[in-house]
Amino acid sequence: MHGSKSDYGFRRPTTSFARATEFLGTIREETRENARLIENFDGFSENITENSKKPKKSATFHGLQDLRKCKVQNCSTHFVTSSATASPSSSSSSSSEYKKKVKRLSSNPLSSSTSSSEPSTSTRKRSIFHEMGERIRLFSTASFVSPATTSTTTRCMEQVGGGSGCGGGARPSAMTVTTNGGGGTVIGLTKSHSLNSFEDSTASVFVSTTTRCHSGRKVHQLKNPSRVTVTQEEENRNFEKKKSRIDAIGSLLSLHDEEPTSNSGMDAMDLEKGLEKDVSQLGILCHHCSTTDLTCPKTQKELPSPSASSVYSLARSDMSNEPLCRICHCCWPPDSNDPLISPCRCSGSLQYVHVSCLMHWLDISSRKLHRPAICELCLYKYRRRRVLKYREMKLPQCAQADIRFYTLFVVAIVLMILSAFSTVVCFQLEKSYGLSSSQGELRNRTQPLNVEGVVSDVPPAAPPSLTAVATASEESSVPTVVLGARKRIGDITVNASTKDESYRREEAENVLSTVTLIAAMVFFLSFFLAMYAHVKSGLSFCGYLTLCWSSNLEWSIEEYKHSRDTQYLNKLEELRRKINEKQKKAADEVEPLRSSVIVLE
Amino acid sequence: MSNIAFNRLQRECKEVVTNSEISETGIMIEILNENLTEIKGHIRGPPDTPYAGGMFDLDIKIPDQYPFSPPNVKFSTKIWHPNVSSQTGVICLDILKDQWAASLTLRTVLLSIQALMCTPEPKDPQDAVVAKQYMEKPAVFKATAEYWTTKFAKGAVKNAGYQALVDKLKDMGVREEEAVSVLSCNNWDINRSTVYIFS
Repeated sequence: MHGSKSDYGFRRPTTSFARATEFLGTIREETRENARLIENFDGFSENITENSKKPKKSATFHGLQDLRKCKVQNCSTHFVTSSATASPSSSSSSSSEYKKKVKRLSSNPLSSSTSSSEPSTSTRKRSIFHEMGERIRLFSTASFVSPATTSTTTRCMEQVGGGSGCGGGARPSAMTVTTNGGGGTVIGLTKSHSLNSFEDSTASVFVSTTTRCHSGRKVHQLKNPSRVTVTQEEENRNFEKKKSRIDAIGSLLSLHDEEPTSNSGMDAMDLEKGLEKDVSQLGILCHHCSTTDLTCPKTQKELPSPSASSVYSLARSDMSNEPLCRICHCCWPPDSNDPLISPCRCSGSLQYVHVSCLMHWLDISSRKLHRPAICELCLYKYRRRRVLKYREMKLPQCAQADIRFYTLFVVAIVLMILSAFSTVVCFQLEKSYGLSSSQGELRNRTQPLNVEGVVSDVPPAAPPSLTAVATASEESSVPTVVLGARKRIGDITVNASTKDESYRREEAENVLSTVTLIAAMVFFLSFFLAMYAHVKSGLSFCGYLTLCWSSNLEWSIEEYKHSRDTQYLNKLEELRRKINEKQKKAADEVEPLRSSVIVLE
Repeated sequence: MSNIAFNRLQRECKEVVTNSEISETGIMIEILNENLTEIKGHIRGPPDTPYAGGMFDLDIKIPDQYPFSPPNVKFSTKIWHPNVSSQTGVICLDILKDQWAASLTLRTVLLSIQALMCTPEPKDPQDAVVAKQYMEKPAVFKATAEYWTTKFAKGAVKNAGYQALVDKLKDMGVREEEAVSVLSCNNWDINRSTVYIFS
């Protein structure tokens, strides 16, 4: 690239040439490196190294032919470097600078589309625009020099693209570029293309603007996505520097429009006119290409074969590299809520689908078309499970009055349960109380004499209780000294305690029975309330609960696994069997042959 | 139209346009409005069929529920085919009706229609007259289909005999399109056609 710049400056008259050399000084180094690279090539190497190594010596060039060759060589090295990015085997240390540039240029359309929201992109765009415009101008001089350019460009492009695809093909492709002699415009074209695609990247473009960009570029983009961003930052940093360079060139050009003095100056003016014309033509061409692509008249006229194959490969690589949902054709970032899954045997561009998209489609297809949940293409029955969403429970909508009835219903039900429970408890208490008390009575009646001594020890003030009675009855077996004097008193106290006991028991029984009664009443009341609420509410509470349950259930679709697909396994088994049979047959056929060979020998 | 449908259609159009099938199979689309609800499709007649050499246009209308409901596709070019109505251009194709799948695209639909042109299905006809002719008089069907292709789809070769018959009817004051369709329906019997038209 810089080599061609120097060529351009080289054709200027002497006054401006000094200015040109000023900023070209830095570039010369690179030109030398470039030349060194060229030396590696067979064929034209000698001629070119001469030209590119000493651009100061002669004021005019020997001939257009040499100039073209020189340019072509430079460009060819450029192509080699660009292809070298794809093939590490052919990369050399001297071409690293070029590599970066190629990368940057090639990465621009892509990175712009990713960072279109950034405010700095507009300035960045402009800088790239300037740079590219300048380059197009420079390279279109080459096209002016060699009129057979544009027709050969695409051929070169394709060859280079093919070469860059595989590492070994880099060198031969570079050679074809040189023989075709239009390398300069190739780059010009690619630049303008990338420029166009760059501008249109935000708009909805149906025609691929990147059609004629060589596939090596694409490969590179895919390989180094991180590198792209880095180079863009670099671009940003070098923005001012480049701008000054471009301005210098611009002033150079304008200067020469004004003062065409010498013969070479005339040449230069011619060149410039042709250059302007060419640039405009290029612009038109590219505009056409970006809008109507293959129907573009210029393209049709000058390009013998539209590189449909590269288009195809681009489209395919787009498809295969990023997993697309087969229903919405989007590729949202992997989200935990809506992941891309492959639920059936389908593969390729139809492999992935969003869970939500698939659910929606299954919902529609099952409702409208009464179809089971199968894939229409591979006829695989989706493995579905119903799972309750514990995390995101959502209550279905219902009327305000219904909510009141539901609360009433729930309260009534709770009351019913409580009352039933209390009734049961009361019954149990009453039962146990009645049992123990009757036992106590029995014992008191059967062993009144034995007990009297013990009971006489019990202080009469102490209130007799059930336990006391129980202990008393237990201790009644203990032999006691019966005192005749205390007999009567004891009799009396026992009689008193039993009387008190029976009184208290009756009281407790009364309390228990009233509680039971109230509980029963509450039970029936709440039962009627519940019935009322149930009847009055629009949707019954049970219905509401089931609705809630069903609405919170969701289908989950499992990913396809070969191990679960019985049909697949069967087929696999069948295939294996067939292969085995074939192998056996082959072995059987070979054996007699072998034996016959042996016999013949 | 929902956002998902629009996005998807954009991608589909891109897919059709950028694919190599433009040159290989001759499928093209043309966008008629910005909402992408109306699209014009072009199918090149498949080789080795009566439709070879013709360029058939299709009207594609995208419903709101797309891609969950199939696009509305019909021929705008007149075509003589058992599964296409010779009058209205309505296509009888299962994937455009109940067998539609959300994973199908405009490209696959157009390819399916092209495949249908290759292999007509007379047992499930859209146009019974054409299907009958296809079953009973294959030669006549082929000639008729070729004639229709040359007549309406700008095919290359012309059938002079059929053209003469059509011209005859035209001289009688019949519209050309009507003359062609009536003659085709009557197996190019001029007498029956005149009776059919003027009775």
